[in-house]
Amino acid sequence: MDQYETLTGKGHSRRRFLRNVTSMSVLAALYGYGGVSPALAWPQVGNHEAERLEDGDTDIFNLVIDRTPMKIDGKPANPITVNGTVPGPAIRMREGRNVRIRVQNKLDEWTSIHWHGILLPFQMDGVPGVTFEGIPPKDTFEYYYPLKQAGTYWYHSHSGLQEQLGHYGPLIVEPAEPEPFDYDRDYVIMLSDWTFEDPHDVFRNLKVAEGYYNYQKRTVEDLLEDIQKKGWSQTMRERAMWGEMRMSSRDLLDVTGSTYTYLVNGRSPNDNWTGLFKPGEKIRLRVINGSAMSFFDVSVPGLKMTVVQVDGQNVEPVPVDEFRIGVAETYDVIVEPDDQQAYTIFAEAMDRSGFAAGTLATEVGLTAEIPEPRSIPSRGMEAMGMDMSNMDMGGMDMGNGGMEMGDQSGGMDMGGQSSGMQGDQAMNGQTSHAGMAMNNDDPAKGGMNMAMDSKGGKAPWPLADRDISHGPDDHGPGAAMVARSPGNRLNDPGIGLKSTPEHKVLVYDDLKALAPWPDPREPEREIELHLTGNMERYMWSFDGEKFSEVDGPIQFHHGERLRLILVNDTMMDHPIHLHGMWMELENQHGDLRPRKHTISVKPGEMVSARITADAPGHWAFHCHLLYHMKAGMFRVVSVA
Amino acid sequence: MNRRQTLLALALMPLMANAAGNHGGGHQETTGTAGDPAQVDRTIEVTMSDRMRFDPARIDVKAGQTIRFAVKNTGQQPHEMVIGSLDKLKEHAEKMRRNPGMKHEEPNMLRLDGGETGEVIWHFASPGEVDFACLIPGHLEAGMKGTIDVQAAP
Repeated sequence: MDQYETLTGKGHSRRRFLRNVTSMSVLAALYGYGGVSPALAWPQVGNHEAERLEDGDTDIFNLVIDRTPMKIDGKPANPITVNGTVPGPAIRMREGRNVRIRVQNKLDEWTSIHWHGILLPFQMDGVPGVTFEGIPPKDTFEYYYPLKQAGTYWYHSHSGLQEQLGHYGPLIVEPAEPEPFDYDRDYVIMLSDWTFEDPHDVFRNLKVAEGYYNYQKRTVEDLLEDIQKKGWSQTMRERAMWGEMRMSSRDLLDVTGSTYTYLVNGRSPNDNWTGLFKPGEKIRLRVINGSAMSFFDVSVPGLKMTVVQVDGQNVEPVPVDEFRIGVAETYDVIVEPDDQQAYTIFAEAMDRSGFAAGTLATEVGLTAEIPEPRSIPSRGMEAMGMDMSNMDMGGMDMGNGGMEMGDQSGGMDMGGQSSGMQGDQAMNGQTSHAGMAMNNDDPAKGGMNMAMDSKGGKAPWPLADRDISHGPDDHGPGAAMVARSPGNRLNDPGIGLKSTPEHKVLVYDDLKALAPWPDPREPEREIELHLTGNMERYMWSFDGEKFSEVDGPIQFHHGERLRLILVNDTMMDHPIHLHGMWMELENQHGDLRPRKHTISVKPGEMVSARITADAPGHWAFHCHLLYHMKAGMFRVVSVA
Repeated sequence: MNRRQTLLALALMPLMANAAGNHGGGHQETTGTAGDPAQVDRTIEVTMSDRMRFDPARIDVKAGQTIRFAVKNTGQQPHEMVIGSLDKLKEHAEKMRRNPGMKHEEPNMLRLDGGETGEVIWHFASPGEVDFACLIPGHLEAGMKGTIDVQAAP
């Protein structure tokens, strides 16, 4: 029976119509659809969950992957859905039990599901070509694995560009032990970016025209204003430098609000997803960034948010006003509205080209104000280690991660301006072979390492005295530049954000585990990887080599304790995801390192993480920006 | 009351309110006062943990009693037990959040590093509800608080 014919109610009484709807829901429930009309994404109010069946010590879920016509932001779309919706239903698993997930592929193409952040046998990890073949068209695959962790995670396709088409959903693992915080109700807030374009066209556009989606390039008026403010010669110098770097200072995200509609639980700001509460309740928001390409700055204006979990892992609670969420990260926060007011859940794209928004309210239909858009941040020369501001912009903006063009000539004397790459450590062992004169004659102005030490960072940063082990030309054409003095930016909330006592923005250095992790060993071995790219040619890679050019996997020896060092040689933020094993981020908290599955690395930043290589098999390791992964920023890690 | 007297009374009101609502000693009338170690009526054991909870989180005492709270931090993080009214506790927590590293020490509170033990001796003068919480940033928000029910003396 054609359901649309039924729903138009031709010749049916309202009573009949209702009965049909009811029986459809029953039918849908039998197939695990959860009774949601396929004409919509998620319900406007609350969350949509997959049915959980029990069989002994195993929880069973049935998932169907299909194309489902629906409206997104009021416009017709044909996304890839899981059980008929975008996002797919929230799957609630339980720590200490096994899960069996039957995935039926109704598509005409291969698909897969990867359980992002879950530790499991590698055959169940769901990465075609690495851990299994994939799920053929019109076929089924059964995942089966034990749950040995708890927290907020997500799942998504690891096939082609299917994630961009809607193939993702929330995954919650209920804890066996009580969690170190209280709440009265919880909501998933799954952020994503939808485009009505074919994702393959998006990728081609990025390949053929650098900055295709970037309508925010500096204009002639900006130029005149710059000249007025900074003078002719400095303005020209800056512009020459950007040109040499094959970057625009406004390329913060390479796919933007010009094509994207940003969604909360599958709903645009117009479709206003709403979570209900009673005044005085503690509400846990499980914020998941399921975007293909978008970093968001998340806030609930009028409410303080207390961060209690990051990437599913408990952290010492941190009260904040705002946090930046990289692609694939999750942040669980607690908010406590104590009045009848409505509150906006606001997730502004990092480049300010748009936003996702939903509402917390005491009844459906209430809305709160949407904050005014903030001005577009521009990556200043300080992001390259060049402070152009006479030092008046506060420590946060002065990334001491120095950037340097691979091939650069003349005209770069920053005369009179002090260099942003201050500090002996930063300059240690670096030869000034490029044209930029890095005068470091004013040590009093301090570098970020020093500022951090004085700010009460307890543990010394393990990379403080590190020499970057290559020259600028080692990475070939895949790397248009290398970081000259990448530095510690764990206390930097990122471009366009500033943390003040009145408006606290979360930084990685705030994250502190509640207890040390099981493996107390010092790293026996270090692996250094550079995040590299050539924006103009849309080449993205590790160490300048695209996945297709690499000889073999990165070898981890089974059982060893490693320090993974990531150096970002590009001008973009990259969320780096390791499958199958935790990365313990080395920040100021010594043994109380936060555990992450995805680490966002800022431009000019160097970060390190400890890894216990305890999961034999082949694992994916990649940038979680979908088109960067497709362009080659992907490696296989082999643990044997 | 003539007009002059009214104005005088109005002028005094904020002062009186302020005296009653001040930090530390000010709100003693409802929450109690520092207790005399020689006059302890009863000892109550309280544990604080990295689960961001007090155990017990609900305590019954009688008005007029002086209680020794024998407190143990079973976690690895520092924790505090601060006695007061929830509103004041929240205010104070916000002050601490804005001033990282701020130290505070009052008779109504105790701060313990992981594994440490200590005590707070507190006299509950009048019946009502008194709250206690950990004011280290984030802990109260995560739920680290409890209530003392001060029952009228028989």
